[in-house]
Amino acid sequence: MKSKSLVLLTFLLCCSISLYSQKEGKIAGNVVDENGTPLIGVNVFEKGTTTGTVTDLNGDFELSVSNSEATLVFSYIGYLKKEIPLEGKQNIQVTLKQDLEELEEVVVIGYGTVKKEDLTGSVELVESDGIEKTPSFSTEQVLQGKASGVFVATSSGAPGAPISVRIRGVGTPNNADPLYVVDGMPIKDASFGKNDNPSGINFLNPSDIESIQVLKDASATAIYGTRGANGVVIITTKKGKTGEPRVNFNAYYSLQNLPQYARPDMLDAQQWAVLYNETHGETYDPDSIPYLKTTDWQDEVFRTAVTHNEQFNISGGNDNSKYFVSFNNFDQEGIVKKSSYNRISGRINTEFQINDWLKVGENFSVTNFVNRRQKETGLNAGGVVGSPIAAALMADPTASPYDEFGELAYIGEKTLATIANPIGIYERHHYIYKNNRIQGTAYAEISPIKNLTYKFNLGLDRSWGFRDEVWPEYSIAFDDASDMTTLTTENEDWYNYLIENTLNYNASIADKHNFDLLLGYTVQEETMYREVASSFLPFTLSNMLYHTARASNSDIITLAGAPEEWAIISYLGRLNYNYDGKYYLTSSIRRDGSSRFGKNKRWGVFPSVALAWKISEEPFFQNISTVSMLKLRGGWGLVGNQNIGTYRYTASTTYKPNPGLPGPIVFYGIPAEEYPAVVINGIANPNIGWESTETFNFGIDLALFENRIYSTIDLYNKTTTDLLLYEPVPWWAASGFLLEESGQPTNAGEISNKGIDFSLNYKNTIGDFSYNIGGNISLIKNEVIALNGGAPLTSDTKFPVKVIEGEPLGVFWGYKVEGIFKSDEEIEQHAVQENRTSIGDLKFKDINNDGEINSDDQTIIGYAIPDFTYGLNASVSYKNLELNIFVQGVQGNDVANRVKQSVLHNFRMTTNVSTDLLNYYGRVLENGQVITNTDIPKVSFPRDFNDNLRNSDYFLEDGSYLRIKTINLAYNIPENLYKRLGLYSCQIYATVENLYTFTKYSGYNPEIGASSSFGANPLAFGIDNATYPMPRTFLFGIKIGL
Amino acid sequence: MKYNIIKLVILLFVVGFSSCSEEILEKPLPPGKLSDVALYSTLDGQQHLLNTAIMSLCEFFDNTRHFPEAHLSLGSIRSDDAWSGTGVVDNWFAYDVNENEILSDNWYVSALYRSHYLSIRYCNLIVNNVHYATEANPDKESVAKIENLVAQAKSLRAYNYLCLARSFGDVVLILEDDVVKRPRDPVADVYTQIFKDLNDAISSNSLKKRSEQANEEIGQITLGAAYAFLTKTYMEYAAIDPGNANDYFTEAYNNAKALIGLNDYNLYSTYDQLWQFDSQFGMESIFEIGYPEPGVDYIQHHWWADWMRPLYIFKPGTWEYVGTDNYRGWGHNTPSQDFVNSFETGDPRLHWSVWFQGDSTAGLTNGDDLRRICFIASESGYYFRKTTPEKFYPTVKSFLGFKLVRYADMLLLGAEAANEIGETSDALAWLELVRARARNTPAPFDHESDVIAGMPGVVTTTNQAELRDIIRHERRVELGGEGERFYDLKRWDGTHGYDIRKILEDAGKIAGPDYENVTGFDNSGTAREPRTILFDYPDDLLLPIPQREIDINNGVIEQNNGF
Repeated sequence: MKSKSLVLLTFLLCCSISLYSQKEGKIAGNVVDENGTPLIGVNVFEKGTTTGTVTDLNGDFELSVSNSEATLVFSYIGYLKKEIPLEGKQNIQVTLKQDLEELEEVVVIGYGTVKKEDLTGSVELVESDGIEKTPSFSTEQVLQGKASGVFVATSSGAPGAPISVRIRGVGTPNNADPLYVVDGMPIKDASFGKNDNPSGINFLNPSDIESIQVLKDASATAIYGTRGANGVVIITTKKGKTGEPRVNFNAYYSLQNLPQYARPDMLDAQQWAVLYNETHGETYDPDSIPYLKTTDWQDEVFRTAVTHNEQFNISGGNDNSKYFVSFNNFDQEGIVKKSSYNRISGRINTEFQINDWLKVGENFSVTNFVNRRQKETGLNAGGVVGSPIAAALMADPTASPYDEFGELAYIGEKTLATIANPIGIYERHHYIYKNNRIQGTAYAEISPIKNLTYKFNLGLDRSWGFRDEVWPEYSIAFDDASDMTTLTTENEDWYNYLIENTLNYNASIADKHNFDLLLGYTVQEETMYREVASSFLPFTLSNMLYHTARASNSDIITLAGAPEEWAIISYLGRLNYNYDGKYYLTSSIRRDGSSRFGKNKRWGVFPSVALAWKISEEPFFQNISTVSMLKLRGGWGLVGNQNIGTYRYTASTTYKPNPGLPGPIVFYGIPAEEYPAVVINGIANPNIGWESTETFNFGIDLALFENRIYSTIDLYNKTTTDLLLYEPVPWWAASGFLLEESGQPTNAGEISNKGIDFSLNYKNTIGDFSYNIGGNISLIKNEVIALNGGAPLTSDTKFPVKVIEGEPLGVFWGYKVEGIFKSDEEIEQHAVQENRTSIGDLKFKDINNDGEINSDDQTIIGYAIPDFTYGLNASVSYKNLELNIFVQGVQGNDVANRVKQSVLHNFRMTTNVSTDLLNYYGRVLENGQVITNTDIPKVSFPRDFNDNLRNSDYFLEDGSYLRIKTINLAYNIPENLYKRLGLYSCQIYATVENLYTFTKYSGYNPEIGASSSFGANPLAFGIDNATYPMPRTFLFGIKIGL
Repeated sequence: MKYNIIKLVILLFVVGFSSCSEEILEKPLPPGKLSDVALYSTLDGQQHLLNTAIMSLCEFFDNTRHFPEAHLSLGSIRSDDAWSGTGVVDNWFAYDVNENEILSDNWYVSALYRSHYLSIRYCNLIVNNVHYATEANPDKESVAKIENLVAQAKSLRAYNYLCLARSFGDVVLILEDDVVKRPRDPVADVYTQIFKDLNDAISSNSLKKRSEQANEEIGQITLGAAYAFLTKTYMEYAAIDPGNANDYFTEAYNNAKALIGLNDYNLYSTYDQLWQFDSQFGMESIFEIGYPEPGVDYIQHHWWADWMRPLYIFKPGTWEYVGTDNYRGWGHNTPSQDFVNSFETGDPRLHWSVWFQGDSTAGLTNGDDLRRICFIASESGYYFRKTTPEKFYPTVKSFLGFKLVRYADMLLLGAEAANEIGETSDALAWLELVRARARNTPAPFDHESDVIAGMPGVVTTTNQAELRDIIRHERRVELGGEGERFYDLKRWDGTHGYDIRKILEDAGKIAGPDYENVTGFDNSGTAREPRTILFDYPDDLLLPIPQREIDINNGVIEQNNGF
C-alpha cells in the first residue's frame, strides 16, 4: 500500500518535472540494478547543485544540467551511491549495485534496534555467517580477536572451562564480566552464588546465534544502567524466515591433542638420576642409571581426545508465523584423561503476527550439560598436589606408575613434595558437574496506532546445578593418603525472572526530523538456593558404588546451604533523533534500584548523550567519490557496576542454631559436647553504593571505494570511581573465619582506562575470486588513579598481585634479580641477603639501598595487562572453495609463571624439573668442566637458604604471543552433484585450531585469563597455576541443507 | 476498535508501572544469617560470641590459622627444649623458627598474632554490646548471666593481650570493633589494660568457680583462670619493670595463693594421666581449648596433636610403617638432647614426656597390638610423648584438649614468686606438690628400670638462690614442650646470672658470641653439616609483627627492631 503510493507519487513527480524542464543541457538516462531490472524512484541530481529528479516506473529519467561536463549523482536506498561524469554525453545507462555491506545492518542496542549507519555509540557486531564459518566450541570463543576492544582469554583448555571476556580493559577490582543479554533478557551473572559453571553464556549452542553485538562505550551501555560498566554483550538467536521449511544439518568430528612442542621438557630418568645424585647424595647406583626406564608422566595424563558435534535446525514461515527449531549434541573429551563436556540443547523460537496490531513470540532454549572435571590448580610443591596436570610435571620420571601387582604405585619416595600418582589422581577422583537450564523470553507487541509499539516481555532463566564429587579411599601418595572416602554433593537452584514493559514511538516530521522515543520499566529478580552435603565413609568403596552408599548413609558430616536473592527495578528512557540522516543525537537515562545496596545508596541514575555527524551526507562532500561514508561520533555516559555480591551492606552472622545444622562450634563439658559459636562477617557499611564508570568516546567510521574498505576507530577515556573495594581489615576487625580476607567493603578509589580501538576491513571480488582481509587492534592504558587512603591492595594469590596508585591494575610484586653470585667477593660486596647465601645463589636487587635484602626490597616487577591485543582475519573464496585464516595475539604483558617457580625451575629439586636445570650454576660435568656461564642458580637441597624460589622477576615471563588460531577450508559441493541427491546445499570443511603459537613463554600456554580457581577476580589475572593446556584441534565437518 | 487498543496499551503500561513495588528490593538476610544487632540482643547470642572468642584459639573452621602449633613452635622450638623436627621440606616456617630466622611473613607468627586478635575482637563485641542484651533481658537472672559473660570476656581479652605483649612487645591496644588504622601502643599501656580487665573481672564477683560451673560451662573462663592470668601477668611484668619487681612478685604470690585457696584445682595423682584423652577439662586444667571426644566422628581441622606426634610409627615386630592410617603424626617440636639431659636421673616424667627410639605404646582400645615408635625424621632422635596417648583409637584421628594454663604451671609460678619475696615455706610446699606427683608416677611399661624410687627427691633448701634454680629447673622438666619455656627464659634473662644466649648456646641451639658452629642433625639422624644459628640479642627476644598487618595498615604500624 505504502510502496504503491510512493511509486504513484514518484511517477507524478517525474511527469511534472518532465513537463516543466524542457531546457538546454537536457540529459536522459535509465537506471537498472545488477540484474538489469529498472529501478524506480532513484534520486538523481547534479553534483554541487540542488537540481535533481527521480527515475520513473521504467527506471528512466530526464534532467536539465547546468553544463555538459557536470557530474550526476545516483542514490537509492539499499544500493551503493554512484557518481557519473557526463563528459558531454546526453544519454547514459547506469547500473547501481546493491549494497549488502555493513552499512545497512541492523544492530540491537538494547530495548530496540538501530541501523548500523545510524549508530552514535561504539558497538561491535559479529554476525552469524562469521560465527558459522568456523565451528566454535563455545560462544565466547566466537568473540576472540573478532571485535576490537574485546579481550577474550581462554586460560584453560579444559572442556567447558570458563572464558573471561573483558571489554575495554578492566575498570574494577570486582567482577569485570560483561553483562550478557540473550534475546532481551539479562541473564544471571556468574558471581551470583557459588557457581561451578561460571561462564555466562556457555549454555548456548553457538550455531543458534544470529548475531552478537558488543556495546562498548557508556553512551551505548547506559541503557543498562548499573549493570553496564563492564560492557554489554547482546546475543540474538536465530529467527525463522519467510519461505519454505529449510532443514540444516551440520556435523563435525575433531581430534585434539597437546603437541609435543607445547610441552615443557622435563628430565628423563637418566637425567633425573644423575642430577638427583649430584644434589641429594648418591641414591641411584651409577651403574644402573643407563638402564632406568623413563615414565613420561605427561604421556600418561594427556591423550588425543575426540570431540563430535551434531546439530540440525528447521526454520521457515510465512507472513504470519515464523519458526526456528534446533537441536544440538556436543560431546567433547578433554585432552586430560577422564575430563569431558557434553552439552545437549534444544531451542524453539517462534513469532506470530496475530493481526495488524498484535504480534506474539517466544525464544526458549533447554540445555543440559555434563562436565567431568579434573582439578587444575593444586600447584603446591609443599602440600598435596591434587591436579593431574601439575602432578604430571612434578612426578619422579624413574617411578613406575604401577607396582608389581598391577596396582597404582606410590611414587613419592624421591620427590619429597607430596605428589600423588598422577594416574591415581585422575582415575580415582570423580568430579561431575551437571546443569540443566531453561532460558528464554516470551513477548507480545501491540501497535495501536502507526509508529507506536507497546512490548511486554517476560524472561525466565531457570537452572539447576548438581555437583557430585568423590575422593575414594586410596594411598597413592604418602601425605595424600586417606582411609576415608569423601562424598560431596551439591545442589544449586537458580530462578531468575524478568518483567519488562516498553513503549516505543517513532516518527518522522517533514521527512527530515526522525524521532525514536523509548520509555520503559523493568523488574528482575533472582533467587538461588544451594545445598552441600559431604560425608566421610570410613571404608573403601569399590568403583562407583558410591551412589548406593550415599543413599544408605545417614552419616552426613557437613551440610551447608546458602540461599541468596537479589532484585533490581529500573525505569528507562531513550531518544534517538536525527536530522535528515546527517546529524544524530542519542540520549538515554536509566534509574536503577538494586537490593544489593543499603537503603542510603539504593537508587542510582545513569544518563548518557551521544552525537554523530555523517559528513558524507553533506552536499560539500559529494565531490569526494572515494569516500562512501564518513561519520564522526562523540558520546558521554555514566554507568554502574553492582556485582559485589549480596547483603554486603550489612554485617551478617554465620551461626549454628542447633545441632545437626552447620556452623561454627566450640567444645565444652565432660564429656565434651559441641556448642554453637557465631561468626560476624565483617563490619557493616550501610553506605555501600554503585561503582560508577564515566566514559567519553570519540569515533570515526569511514567507508572507502564503495565500501570495499571499512574502518572504525574509537578513542575513549573511561574512568571508574567509587570502586567497591574490599579493604583488607586488620586482624582485630576480621571475622576470623572463611570470609575474613574479603575485608570491609568501601566505595573508594578510581581507575582509568584510556584506549584506542581500531579495525580495518578490506573486501573485493574479482570475477570468481573474492577475498576479505580484516584486522583489529586494541590499545589500553590502564591506571589506578586513587585508592582509599593510598594503601595498595594485595591479592591472596601465591604470586602476589598488587593494586597501587599510579600503576596499572594488577602489577606483580616481588624481588628483582640481578644475576648469580659468582664469587665470595661478590657476596661480600652485595647487600646482605641471608647469612648462608653462597656462590650460585641468585642476587637480588637492594631496592632501598640499605645494605640488606629484606621484604622492603620488593617492588613492581611486571605488568599483567597487555599493551595491545589484536586479531587478523583473512578469507578467500574461489568458486566453491573458501579459506579462512584467523590469527590472534597479545603483546607486552608479563605472566607470573608459577609452574616455573614450583616445578620447572624448582631449585630445591623436590620435584622433577625442566631440562633447563641441567645447566645449573656450579654443576660439574663428567669431563670436569664446571658450568658457570648460566642464568640458572644452583640446586639447593634440602633447604634453599637464599630463598631463590621467592617471588621474583626470575619467574616472570613475557606473555606476548601470536597464535594461528584457526585455519578453515570449506568446499561447497557443486550444485549439480547435491541437487541430484535432493539437497539444497552441501558443504564439507576442515579446520585446524591452535595450529601454532609463537611465544617465548615456557609454560603450557601464555594465554592466562582470570584464573577459574579465583573466580572472576581480576587481581589474579596473569598467574599461571598449571592450568589445563590449550589443545591443538583438527576438525572435519559437513553441512547439508534440505 | 483502535481506541480500545490504545486504552488497553495505556492500561497495561500503567498497571505494570504501578506494580513495580519497591518492596522487592528489601531482601531479608537469608536463613541462617542473623544481623549483628539481633545477635547481641539475646543471651544465647552473647554466649555464642564468647564461644567464638574461645574457639579462635583452636583450628576449627580455618585451616590457615593453627594457633596451637604456633603457640608451641614459638614457645618451645625457640627455646632450648626442642627442635622443629621434620619440616625441612614441608614446613619451612617451623624450620625457620628452628634456625632462628623468623621473618615477618612466618606463618606461625601470623597465626599467633591473628588468633589472639580474633579472640580479642569477639571479647570486644561482648564488652561493647552488652547493653543490647541487658535492655532486652532486664530480669535478674539474665543480668547475672550477662555480667558473667562480660567478666569472662574481659579475662580472656587480658590473656590474649598478655600473650601478644610477651611475644611482640608494643602492640595495638584495640578495645572497639573498628577498622581504623592505628599505631602500636606502648607495652606499659597494654599491661595497664590487662591489669584493669582482670581486676574488673575478679572484682565484679560474677566469675564462677570451677566447682560452680554446670557441665556445659566447663571450658569457659573461671575465677581461677582470672587469678592465673593475673599471676602470669605480674610475673611477666616483673621482668619489664625490674626496679619494682618485688611488688609484682608479691601481687603474683597473692593471686597464686588466691587461686590455690579456691581448692578448685588439683594435680592428677600420676603425671601420665595428664596426657590421656579423658584429662580434657580435668581437675588440672585451668584454661584449656576443648576438642571433640575420641570416637566422635567429627571431621574438622584439629590436628595440633598430630602435629607433634611421631612421624613414623611401625606395626608391632615389623618395620612396616603405618603411614596410611591415623597413627601417624607430623613429627614437629621434637625434644632436644639438652632437654632430655635436664631431667634428674630416675625422674619418671622423662619417659612420659619423651619418646625414645624403639619405644612402644602400651596398647590399644581394641587391644590388638602394640605400636613401635621409630625415628627417621626427628632431628634429635626423640619425640614428645605428650600428645601420643597410650590408647589409640584406630579409625579416628586422636583428639586431645589443648592445655594453655594448667595447675602445675601455676603452682610453680606461685612458688617462684613466693621464693622471691621470702615466703619460702609456701614456695617449698607448692614445689613439693608437683615433685611428689612426679615421684608417685609409675614408668611406662618398657622403661620401668629407668625409674629410681624416691625420685625426684624432696627439696628442703631454704637458700633463696638455690631454691630459685630448683624451681626454674622444675618448670622446665614439668612443662617441657608445652610452649612456656621460651617465655620463661625471656623473663629470667638478665636476672641472677641467667643469660638466654648462654642457655641456648649451651643447649647447642645457637652459636656462641664467637660464632662457633653448632651441630644439628639431619633427617636420617646422623650429624648434619656444621651450621651457624645466630641469636640477635635483644631483638630476637621479640617476634616480628606480621608483614600483612604492616602492609594493610599502610605503615602506621612499625616493625620491631631487627626484622
